[in-house]
Amino acid sequence: MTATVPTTPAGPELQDGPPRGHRAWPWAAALSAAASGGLHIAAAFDHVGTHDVVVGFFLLVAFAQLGLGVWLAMSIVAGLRPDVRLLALALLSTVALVGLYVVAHTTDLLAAFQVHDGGGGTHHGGGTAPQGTSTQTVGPVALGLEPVATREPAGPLGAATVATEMVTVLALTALLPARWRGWVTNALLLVGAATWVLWLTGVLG
Amino acid sequence: MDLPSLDRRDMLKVSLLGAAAVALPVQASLTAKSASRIASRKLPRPYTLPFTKPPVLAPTYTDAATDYYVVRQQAFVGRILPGVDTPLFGYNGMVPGPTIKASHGRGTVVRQINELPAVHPTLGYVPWTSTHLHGMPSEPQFDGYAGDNSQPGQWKDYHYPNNCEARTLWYHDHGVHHTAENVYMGLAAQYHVSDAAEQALPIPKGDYDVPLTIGDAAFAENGALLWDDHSHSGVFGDVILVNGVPWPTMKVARRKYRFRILNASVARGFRLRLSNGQPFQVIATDGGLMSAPQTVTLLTVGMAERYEVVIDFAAITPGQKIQLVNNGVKNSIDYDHTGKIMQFEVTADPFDPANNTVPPVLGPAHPAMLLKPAEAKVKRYMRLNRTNSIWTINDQTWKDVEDGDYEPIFANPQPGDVEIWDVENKSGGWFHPLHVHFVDFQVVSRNGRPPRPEEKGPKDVVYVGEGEKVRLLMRFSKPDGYHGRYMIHCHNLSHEDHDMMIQFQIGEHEPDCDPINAAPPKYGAPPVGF
Repeated sequence: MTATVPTTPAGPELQDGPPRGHRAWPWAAALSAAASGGLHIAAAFDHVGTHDVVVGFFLLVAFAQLGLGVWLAMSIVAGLRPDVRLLALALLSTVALVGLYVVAHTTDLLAAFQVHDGGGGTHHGGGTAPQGTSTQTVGPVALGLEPVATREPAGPLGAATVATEMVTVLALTALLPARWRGWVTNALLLVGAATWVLWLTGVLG
Repeated sequence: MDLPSLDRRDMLKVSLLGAAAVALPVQASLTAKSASRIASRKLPRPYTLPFTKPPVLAPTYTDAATDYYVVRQQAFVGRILPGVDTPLFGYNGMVPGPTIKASHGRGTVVRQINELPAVHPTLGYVPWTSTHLHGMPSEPQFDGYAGDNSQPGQWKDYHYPNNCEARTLWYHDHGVHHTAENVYMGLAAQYHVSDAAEQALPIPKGDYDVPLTIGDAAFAENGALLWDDHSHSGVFGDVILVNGVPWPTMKVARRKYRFRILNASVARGFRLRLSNGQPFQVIATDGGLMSAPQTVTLLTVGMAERYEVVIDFAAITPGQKIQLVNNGVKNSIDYDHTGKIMQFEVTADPFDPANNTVPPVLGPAHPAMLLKPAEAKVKRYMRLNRTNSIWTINDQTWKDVEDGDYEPIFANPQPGDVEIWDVENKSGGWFHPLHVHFVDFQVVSRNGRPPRPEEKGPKDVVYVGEGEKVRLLMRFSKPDGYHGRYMIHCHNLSHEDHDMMIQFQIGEHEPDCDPINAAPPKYGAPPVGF
């Protein structure tokens, strides 16, 4: 992939003591990215024993977000301006994650990767339940000839994660060069509008 | 200098996506009006499928006093939704299973063969079964006792005396801890006992005597049944099934029909009415005919309750359609189409005019309805409750019974004794259809007032609604009659499976009526004969 947009070189611009409101954005980006990473670790633990791919994906995302947070924090402490290409990549990735979350919880497109593919308090998952006990299930389970996954309802953890990621989106946008911001916020506006249109037309829901 | 910043307009632009990302997934979870995950185009529109009746099972062998039947409990792939394969459990590979018709005084032996898989493919439990003929005063070892389990590969002959009055019964699985799953997957069917008094009545018979087994189901993306017991509160489907068909339409002639309504749902209660406001004439309850028909426009049917009603289509113009609808009960989860049950389409077809009357007196009162509270030797109190997320009856569970080696009992009436049981549900969060095995009882009062009109007949299940208290009056067997241990439980099958069940004992408990050991199921190929 090539970057065709000129980038602002890393430099000591933040050392000149920008107003307090401006200093808040880098920290907001760093902390929200790290918090999202922490929430994804929690989500990974929440899904252990249900689907290894989901757990692996959550851990991958968590470490990337924690890395982003640490990198941003180090940049602030060092007084360096983060590389714009990396900021753009982080922004794009975070928006993609938000989109994935919305699609996963409002459509069945990703149901195959969702949880609840088995019974049991810790999901029997097609194994043998202990004899003499009643069935413990969490959420809907398809009573098929083989385990079938279904869409997982959105819970507080997911809502908190996506809200934190939106803070990251906002903060990363603020960190972009001024001439990029208008373009990016317009693009985000279009994505947001498209999301609502898809919901209103029944594609999402 | 290019400082990090966002102005108000930028923030508003991004907030559109933020609001969508946070709100839409949550609302999708909260506002779902369907339980099923299958594409809605694969669900039939209500009233578009034809009505069917389960076949009547023919005996495989008869002798002078008994009819012998063979029923195989099988896993199979059937079709409930048009063009969609659904894995099911069924008696003889059908859902609901075949109807068995018996006559008073003539015994039946039903050989139940468990041919289910060794392990449930998705839930992971062993699908053992214990078949209960609900409504039959059977000996304990043939009553479908929880613990008298036939493992996959086992078979058992159930002996039924048919010594009760004419009535609508049903046979269904009662395997301990997995009744709900097994019944939800299809192990349920009707069983009718007729007698001379009922046959002599001019009420609808033959083609005009119609079983209506009502249930509900939800479907996964691939057509499999979807199971969600809402933390043991119950399974609620969004597709209403009548005799295994979603919202069917039945063509009827301009005459009276007798419908044997059975609520075979795991957890859904119904409040039925006809769309044109026409009344039902209730002629029979769980334990058989009422002495006089009761006219109601609204009929509450809890799980496992049976009501026989007569609907008269004589005054309806041919071509007109009437719907049987569900007003719903508290604490059953309603979806877009759970208010619909089935449709009747009145035709101008010729019909047999015989047996087209509901006489004002149907016969002498059932023995349970002749009991007087003054006859009761004992009055007992039963509290239906949920404590620490556990369903209990008087703070007891079936686990307590199991832990006590099946010895703990709630009551020990002697054969022929009469007792009053006051049953109370103080909760506002759920209702409990309470089933007492073996006996027919009289509902004396509901919240201190007379019972509903449709309850003025012999019952074996009573709907104990939120915050309600009902008084029951019953006689336990008779001197020299059957004795032993029988179950009492909530017929919300999720509650039952999660231990809302206890037992009582009539007279002595002896080895020859031990519900687990007196007639245990057997492995191996069953003999050709009986």
